[in-house]
Amino acid sequence: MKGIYKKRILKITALLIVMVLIAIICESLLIRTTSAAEAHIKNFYREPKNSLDVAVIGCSEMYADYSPPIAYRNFGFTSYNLAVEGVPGHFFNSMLDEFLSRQDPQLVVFEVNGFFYTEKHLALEGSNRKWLDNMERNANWAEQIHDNIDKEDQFDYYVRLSKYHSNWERPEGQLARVYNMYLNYKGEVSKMKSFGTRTSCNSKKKVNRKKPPKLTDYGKEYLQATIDHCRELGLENVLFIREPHKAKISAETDAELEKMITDGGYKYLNLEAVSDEIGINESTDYYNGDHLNVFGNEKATLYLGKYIMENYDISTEHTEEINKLWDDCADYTEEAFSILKERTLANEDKVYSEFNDLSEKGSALREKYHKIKKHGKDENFDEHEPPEFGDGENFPTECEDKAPDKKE
Amino acid sequence: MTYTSLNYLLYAAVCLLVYGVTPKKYRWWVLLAASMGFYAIVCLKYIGFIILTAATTYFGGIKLEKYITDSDAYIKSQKGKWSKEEKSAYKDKVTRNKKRICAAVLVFNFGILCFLKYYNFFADSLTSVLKHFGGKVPNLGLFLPLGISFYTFQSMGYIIDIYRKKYTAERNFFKFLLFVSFFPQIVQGPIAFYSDLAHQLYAGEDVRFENFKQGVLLVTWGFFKKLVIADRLVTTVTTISGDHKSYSGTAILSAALIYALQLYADFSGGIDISRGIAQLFGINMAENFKRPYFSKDISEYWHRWHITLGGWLREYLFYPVAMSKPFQKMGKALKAKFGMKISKVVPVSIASLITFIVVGIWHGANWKYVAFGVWNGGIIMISTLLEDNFTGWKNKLHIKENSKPFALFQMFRTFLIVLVGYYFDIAPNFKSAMNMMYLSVADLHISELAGKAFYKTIMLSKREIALVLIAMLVMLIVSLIQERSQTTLREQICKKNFVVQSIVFLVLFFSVVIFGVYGPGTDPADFYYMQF
Repeated sequence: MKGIYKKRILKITALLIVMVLIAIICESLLIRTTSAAEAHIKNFYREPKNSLDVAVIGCSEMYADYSPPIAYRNFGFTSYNLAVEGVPGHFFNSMLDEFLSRQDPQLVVFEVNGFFYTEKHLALEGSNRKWLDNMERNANWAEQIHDNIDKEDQFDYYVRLSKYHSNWERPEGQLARVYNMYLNYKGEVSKMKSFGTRTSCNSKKKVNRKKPPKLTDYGKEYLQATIDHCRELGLENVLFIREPHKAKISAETDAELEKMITDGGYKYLNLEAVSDEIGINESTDYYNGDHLNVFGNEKATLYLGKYIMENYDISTEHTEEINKLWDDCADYTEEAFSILKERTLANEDKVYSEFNDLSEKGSALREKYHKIKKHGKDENFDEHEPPEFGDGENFPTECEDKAPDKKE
Repeated sequence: MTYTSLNYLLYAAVCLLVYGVTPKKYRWWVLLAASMGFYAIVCLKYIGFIILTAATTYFGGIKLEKYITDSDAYIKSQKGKWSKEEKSAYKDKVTRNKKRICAAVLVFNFGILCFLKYYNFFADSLTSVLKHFGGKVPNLGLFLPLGISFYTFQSMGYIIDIYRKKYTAERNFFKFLLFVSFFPQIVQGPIAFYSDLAHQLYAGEDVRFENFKQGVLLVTWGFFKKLVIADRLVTTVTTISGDHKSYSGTAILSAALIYALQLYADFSGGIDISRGIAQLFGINMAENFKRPYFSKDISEYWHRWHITLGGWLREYLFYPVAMSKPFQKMGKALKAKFGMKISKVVPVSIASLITFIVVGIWHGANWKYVAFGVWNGGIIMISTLLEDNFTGWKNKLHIKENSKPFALFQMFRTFLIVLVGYYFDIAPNFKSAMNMMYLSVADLHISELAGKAFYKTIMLSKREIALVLIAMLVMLIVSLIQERSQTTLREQICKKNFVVQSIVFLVLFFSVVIFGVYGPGTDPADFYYMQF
């Protein structure tokens, strides 16, 4: 009798294990997220532990405007953009905790755009899910869901298949994502370290800023929370920055930011105010109102890198292995930038992320997949596109929503 | 907490666990607590109604049985002392009193059901007349307690059986309350006879692995029908039928055909979930569907569709009416004038018609439901009356009764008759139903089906249609296997080796998980018969 029970328990356990495995596979195939966000976040976990000197946390500005391999090539420090398009500031602490769980950076850099979003943004599932669906499932992840998501919606975050199962109807978009991830996971690490751009000086996908962004009450609350969290963690070197944008923040907002940050004991650098010094040309260095193209990226990276080396005592000593890895990444990135600059000058106006194959064969395949996607009427799911955000009033409502219809 | 929610499954799982570890003697208490707990969670405000029905039926049953026992004992004691006339008179008195007690319980409980179900309909109808004289009957905004039709039918069947001396009355109120409120069946049946269900509820059967496997398979199959098919199609049906004037005849006919599938998947899926959950506890509930669309005539259809309701109505309405004294008198009168055949057929046909009108009215307070009942009852009546004529025509046309083509013709014909009835179901009222039927014929353009706009009209993508067709095919194959074999398909599957059983379960389970309509952004459709 005992033998029968033992056998049955074993069989049921085996069945349950198979069920869980199938569920994990189905979830990974059906989950709907932007490939860009997925790549930026998942590539972070592929970086060797304790190999990054500088943590960079922020929104799409960071992976568009700053290139870690270029910074390494010119200044010797390693860094990574843990940046997600449209991520609201209330996730910055969670992103920092995740960064610190695997790395011991000498400096943490926050881009302040996340603090310009309004309370309306908190309700946007897409913005929440880009971070929560792609980060590692750990205590931090569970805490973020518990603290930031309405109770009745939490189950769909814990069991993602409940949310995404209906994507069987859109195999084209899912296949495109699977293909992108296949490209992404080639090699030991991401060579361009979280990167996204458009090959244009004046993209058709425009940003329509109705008013200059400002610190909302929500934004102030979370900026203070971020400052306090850094203090609690004992972080001495924290830098808050504002990357260049065509629509500059007002002097009042700039002053507010400066006061809050410096009162917290940290430094604040507004790159908008030193655009001329950086050498940013508004007609050639932006691909839209909020993001620099590769030309602008290079300039901004060099400026920020120089600022970091001059204002912080960053050691650039690494193991031979790390140096070799980063040298490869820098070589690759320089070559990629050269290709992307050509395409920008030709105003190709296509989106590129770190995983895109820039060879002719790769570009041809990409065209083919875009056609399949369009045939599947999945035009809204542009997985490469770092969506543009204005002052919080034009945010997409779901992961895959296209950027709002913009007019200059 | 709906039947298709995770909370319900977790609730059932916890109840099963507690049931399994409880000593056999007390297991029925676990079922009672689970049933009352479920009712309280879903419908606490109206829990008083189910307890009231259980109490009046319980005490009515005991009083009735005591009266019958005492009367029988008294008659026995007077043997040899009474004359034939005295005995007959006493028996008549006993019968009258028995009927009064039984009727009191029936009228009280059916009265509650009718009041809650039909008061507003009559109030609004009267108001529409009285308003011309400045009068008004207030609409009370009444709400139907969960499962009121099903538990009322079930408990009234019990009291009638006590009246008929079929078995002794239950002496434990709480056991009787369990019979009335057993949670897997409370939402939409199946309606059980006391003699079939009660002993199973109180037996405290062990949780057996075989029951567990079959129960889980049945529940998963129910979910497949409900979430993959029924809930996917419900919007099409409600949208088109709710505004049929905006749609072509093709769309309306499509909606009716889709409803045929949707209703069957919804109702039978829900019943499968109910029976599956019950089976986990070792309780076998009656089948409610036996491949109804394989029926060769409308009479057979009503023996295959909502079997337990049909069984209840036959037992407690049709036979009593057909064998009542007025109908017997009618038969005798007809025999004298028209012969034996007519004398047998006409009373039965009229009893059928009455039964179906009651079925129609039970569906709702609307003339379209009366029409539904008249339609079904009328077809049965006419087919019974003209049975000899049909046989004659078949012989003249040399049609082989048992041939496959003829069987297919019969199934198709029966389906069309049933389809007409469905128009009364989906239309908002009788007039709309007639208009929809007319448009389905007069405004039918087959070429519309090929156009891209058609997908938008029926609110289903090509992929969803493909999915539904595949699911339908799966249902058809399962139905064909079940039609041909003596055992259920899940019994057959559970006899195979573990790997085969697991594959079947995994395919079914993940079909539900991936293709089911649930989750954020969806509006889980209530079971169709939950509203009754």
